[in-house]
Formats: sequence, C-alpha cells, structure tokens
Amino acid sequence: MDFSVDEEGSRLIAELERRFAGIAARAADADAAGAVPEENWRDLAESGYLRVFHPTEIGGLGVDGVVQAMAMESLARACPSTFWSATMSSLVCSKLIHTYGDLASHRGLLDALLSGRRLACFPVVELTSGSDAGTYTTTVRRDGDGYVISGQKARITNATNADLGVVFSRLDGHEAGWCYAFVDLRQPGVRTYAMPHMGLRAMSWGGLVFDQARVDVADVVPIRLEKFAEGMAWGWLFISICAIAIAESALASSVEHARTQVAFGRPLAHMEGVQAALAQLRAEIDAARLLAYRCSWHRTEGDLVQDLVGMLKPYATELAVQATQMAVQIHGAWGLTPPHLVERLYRDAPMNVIGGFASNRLRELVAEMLGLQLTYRDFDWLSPTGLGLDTGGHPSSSVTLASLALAER
Amino acid sequence: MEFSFDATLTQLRERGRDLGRTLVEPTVTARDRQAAWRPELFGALAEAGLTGSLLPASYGGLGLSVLETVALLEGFGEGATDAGLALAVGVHGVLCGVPVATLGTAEQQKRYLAGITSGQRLAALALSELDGGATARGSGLTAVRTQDGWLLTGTQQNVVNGPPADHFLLTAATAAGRTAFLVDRGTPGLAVLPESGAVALRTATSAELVLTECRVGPDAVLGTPGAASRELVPLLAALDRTCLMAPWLGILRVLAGRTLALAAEQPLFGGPLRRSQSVRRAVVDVQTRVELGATLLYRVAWQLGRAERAPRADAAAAKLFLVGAVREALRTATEFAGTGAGDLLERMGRDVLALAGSGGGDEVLRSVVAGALLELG
Repeated sequence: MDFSVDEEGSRLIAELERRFAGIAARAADADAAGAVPEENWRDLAESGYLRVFHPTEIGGLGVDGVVQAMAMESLARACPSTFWSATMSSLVCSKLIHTYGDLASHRGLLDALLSGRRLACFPVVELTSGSDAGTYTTTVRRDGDGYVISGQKARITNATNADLGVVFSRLDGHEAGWCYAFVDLRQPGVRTYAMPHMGLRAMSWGGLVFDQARVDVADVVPIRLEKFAEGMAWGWLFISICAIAIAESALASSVEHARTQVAFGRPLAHMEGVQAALAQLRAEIDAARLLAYRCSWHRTEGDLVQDLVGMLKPYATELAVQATQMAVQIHGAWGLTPPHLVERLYRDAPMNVIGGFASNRLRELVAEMLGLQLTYRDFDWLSPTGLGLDTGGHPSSSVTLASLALAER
Repeated sequence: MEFSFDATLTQLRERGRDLGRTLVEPTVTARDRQAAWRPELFGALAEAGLTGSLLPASYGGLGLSVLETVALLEGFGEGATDAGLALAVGVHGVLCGVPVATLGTAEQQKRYLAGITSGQRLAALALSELDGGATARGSGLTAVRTQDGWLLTGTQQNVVNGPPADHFLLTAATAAGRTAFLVDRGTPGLAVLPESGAVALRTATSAELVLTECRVGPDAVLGTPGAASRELVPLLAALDRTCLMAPWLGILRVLAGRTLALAAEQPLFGGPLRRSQSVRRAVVDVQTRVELGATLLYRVAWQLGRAERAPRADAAAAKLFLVGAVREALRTATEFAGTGAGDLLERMGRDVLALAGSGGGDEVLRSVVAGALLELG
C-alpha cells in the first residue's frame, strides 16, 4: 500500500492543469451558449487528455489508474460539461471498442477518437425507458451482407455532435440477444435532435433516431445482458469523479467566500457553523476521492471491482448535490445568481446522480452483489396483516368503537 | 499509488483477528456487564505482541510501522469487538509507549519501555490529553519548578488504565507553557481514585488523579519543558486518529456484517427484511462507508510513516468520517434488529457514544479540519 504519486504522474497532471486553464476560463460562456467551444476540442486533443485512459499499444499514454483519475478530476474542475462530453468518447466509448471490438477492424475508430478527429456517444436509454433494459426496443437486424439498426435513443450525451455511436441494442436472431453496434452517425438513416437540460448545459444532450441505418458486420459485437454492467462501470467511475470535482469546486469557492466575506464584524470563516459545514465536506470529499483512486487503480490493474465502483457512484454524486447546496448556504444569494460558479455547479451536480444509472438503481445492483437478491413484486403485502384497512366502517367490521364501549358497560 | 493490501498487512490483520477472537471475544459480554478489568487478559495480549507493536525491538516491541499497526489493531477490533479493551491497549502501548520512545531520554526509554511492551507495567493517560485539554474538566494540573524538580498540583479525570496503572503520562500548565511528565505510582502526593459507574467502555478502567504537592524530579519531564503543546499533543492526536481508530474500523466491519445478516434474517410481511428496497439501500450505504472509511484510515496511517509532516486535517477528517460511519452502521443495525438487539449492538450502542467524545468529539475534529482549510486557528 502506497499513497505517493510518482514524479512522471505529477508532471502530467500539472501539464494538463496548465492546458485546461483556457477551458476553465470559457466554462461560464460555454454554459450560457449551450455548446462546448471549438477551442476546447483543440486544447483537449493537444493536451493528450484523450489518450490518458489507454495503453501505449493503441496510442494511449499508459499511465496508472490513479493518474487517470487525477487527469479526469482536473478537467472536471475546469468544466464539467466539457469533461462529460470528452470522457464519454475517450474513456467509455473507446474502452468499449477496445474491449469488445478487435484491433484489426477497429484500430481506425480508436485512432480517430483518441486523436480527437472524431467524437463518440454511447446511446443506451430510450424515450420511454429508464434503466430497465427489458423495455428497450432498438434493434439491429441482418440486411444483405451487413446489418441495419432501427429505433430511437434519447437523453444521450453527445447525441448531436458525435460522429460515432456505440449503440447498445437488441440483436435480432442471435443467442446473445444484445449487441454493441458501432454506428456511423453521419449517414442518411440517422437523425439527431437536441433536448433541453438543466445542468451540464454546454454538453450536447438529446435523441438519435435510427431508421434502417447501415452497420458493417465487423461493427456489430454480440453481448449478453449480464456483461452490460462491465462497460457501464467505466461510466460510473467518470461520473463519480465529475461529482468529486464539482464538490471540490463548491468547497473551494465556499472557502474563498468565507475568508473574504465580512459579516458581524469578521469574515464568515470565524463562524463555527460555517466551519462545521466545510470540515464535514472536506472529510467526505477526501473519502470519495480516495475510493475513486482505489477503484480506478484496481480497474486499470485488470480487476473489475464492480461493487466498489457501484458504491462510489451513489456516494460521490449525492455528495456533490449536498456540497452545492451547502455552497449556496454559505454564498447566500450570490450562489443563485448567474453567472456565479456556484449557481452553475448547483445545476451541474444532479445529472451525475441520475446519468449512467440513477444512484438508487445502482444501490440495488450493489445489494445484489452483496447477496441481497432482488425480488420485485406487486404491492400486496399489507392485505394479509389487516393494516391496509381504515379503522371502523369497512365491510369486515361490524363492531364499532362505540358499540364496544357500550358492551363493556 | 498502490492500493493492494499486501501479504504482510493481510497477515497482521489476520493475527489481530485471531487474538481478538480467541482471547477477548468469548468473555467480552461478561466483562462489560461486570465492568471487570482482568490483568491476566491484558498480560496475554501484551505477550502476544499487541502492546509493543510500534515500539522498538530492542525493548521487546514488534517495531511495526503505523500502517502495519493499524492493520493489526483493525483485525483485533474485528475479532474482539471489545472497544474498551482496545482503548486500554491503545492508551498503554501507543499513546504512552510511543511518546516515551520518541520524546524520552535514553534513560527514560530504558526505564519505561521494556515494562510497557511486556505489559508488566501498565501506563495511563487522561483522554483530555488527546485534544490538548480542550475537553478537560475541573481545575487541571499545574506544575511549579522547585530547587530539585517540580511540584505538581491539581486533578485530572478520565485517566484510562488509571486504577491499576504503574505510570502516568500527564501534562501540566507551567510558567513556560504546558509540560509533559511521567509520574510513577506511589509518588507521594499522587492519589488515584477509581471512577465507577461508567456507561460505556466498561471493559476499560479509569480513574481520577488528585495531585497534592506531588514532588517529582527533573527526570520526570518528557520532552522539552513548556513544549508539550508542540511536541506531545500533535503526536497524541495523530496516533489517536490512526492507531486508536483502527479497532473501530474492525468493529465497523462487524457492524456492517451484522446489518447484512439481519437483512436476511429478520422477518417482515412474511418474508425476510431484505425484500424492502429501503433496507437493501441502507445495507449498501453502511457497506459503502466501510470502504470509504478504510481507505481514509490507511491513507493517514501511511502518511504518519513518512519523513514528511503528516497533515493534521487529513487525520482529523479520517476520524470524523469513521466516527460518523460507526454511528450510522450502529443505527441501521439496531433498527433492523428491532427489539432483539443482542449483546453486541447493545454494548456498541453505549461504546460509540464514548468514541464520539474521546479525543475531542466532532466539535474538536471539525475545528481542526476547518482551521487548516481556512488557514485560521
């Protein structure tokens, strides 16, 4: 066990932070405009961030999991929207292609994503669905010497600006039942639309409509539903780190405000109530960040640690929401007045709780891993006990309290 | 960074767990009920190496690092589920032993360390020393320089291991600031009044010290005269937040395990409690805090083993988090158990209240963390 960061890792993080200064400076305008500025994509590609998560064999930087987590946090500190957009493509989609695809056919896709020439999205949920895959209808079917995909995905990051979709879809006529389809989104069979969203406003978010869109044979990778969570867990990790960064930004802003805002004769920092909130948050962020490092380290070492990542996400993301609420308390009305950083963080935090599996849904998955099997059933457990009835007046009771009182006399 | 729990740590944790399970756990309920202190049990733990884990091998200690000691004591807490005895061991071997080993003169080390590692001499310390006196009640102690040493006067409460102790580590206000002293039992003017009727940590024993014109020689001073706040208190605070929290991490694991078991065992609406989504979520949240707290604790233990200064805020934050995690786990387990809480939960329900107050409660810990964060203090 060793908690030191080597020199090479520290240098990389310092360099990324320097590169991300411009992204941070543009974050408020990006939020107002509802789009990630072109300069951000240039900075991301030049900084090497898009290569951080991968081994050198496929053009990655080959750094360990902890340095990867640190790199994520520095971008998420600069701009959570840009972080989501870039990391969905360079981490989640690229990992899925690298893990489930084959280098002979897909090296080109990976090169394009890691160099920043192309951007990917990961469409999973649908217009009327949530986390229950059983309700998804999008389907990939055989068509001549290839496949076609039809259906509609909604509430998807990078929906309107991605070039490539790593689409989770039903696979018609295959025993696995499901597949990842690497779909070229720049083709006539694909229409995309933007959806309004409360936070992470600079990030593209919306729907994709597939109408007999073409997919090459090599680009359809069958997958069993049980394996699906393995890929999702990359998302849980990056979303957790986004939440940690948001919480840290909220804390840093609160510390700054507490040190400079004078009330009742001295800076707010001298108020015990303010200190208590800041200290509690410091402890909880430390805890979440170390667990994130631990998850990321194990994952890069080849351990899935699904349970740990599944525990991290609910904790870290709900913490970020609490942190932004606390920051608003400390900042007062400044924290609710755009373009204050805290106001933006307050809107950016909740997507992390819900995106890539709502935290309560994830708790269910972890409970299952701990041996507490899920048994969903219709709500019928009150009737046998009699607790589903109001007192008196119902057909099964001919005795009222009043008649009981009479009988006792 | 490197997060693997290597073989040495695993073995130490296992060793602590075995010790706790075989020597301590079988009698913990009875000793708690009777508030009994068993010298032979303490002696057996000392013989097994538990009291000298951080002390040098030249004095019979194991010479382990803080990280390794935390692994050993975490296992001990898990196996023993005896927070009182774990406190007694920690106060003796860690909080009294380590200051003698790091601040003591060669003469003092020679005089005290072998007896501490072997457990043949018992060392005691007031809990208020862990927070620099922030929670001290009563007049406290003062010391005045005399021609041939010091004259100590005043009282101190909650002196853990006090009634049977041979040595007392204490601090007293002097003209130059607080000074640390090692005072031996039998010193004229030192009265040890056993405290009774404790609600929590009943397997440990504590006393009130009353010093009336208690004369000690210059060799009783530990460290630099007037420098206890600078030398001793930060050391005690760091050791308290790591080594004395380690058994509680073990206990937290037991509570989490109990929570999981109760969710499967307890009945609700004709099925097991775990059918409830709220119950499943609560189990997951308890388990999550175990993982979060463990990583925090091992990080601060690792920090203490380095040449660089160990950030006080990190250690205080770790304790703050762990105390909260234990409280939450206990609340969840006790709610699941309903009317049948059983000995473990009942005892822990009392002991956790004492944990939350020892070494300064949340109030002290939050001040330490916030002070560092805000650069105030």
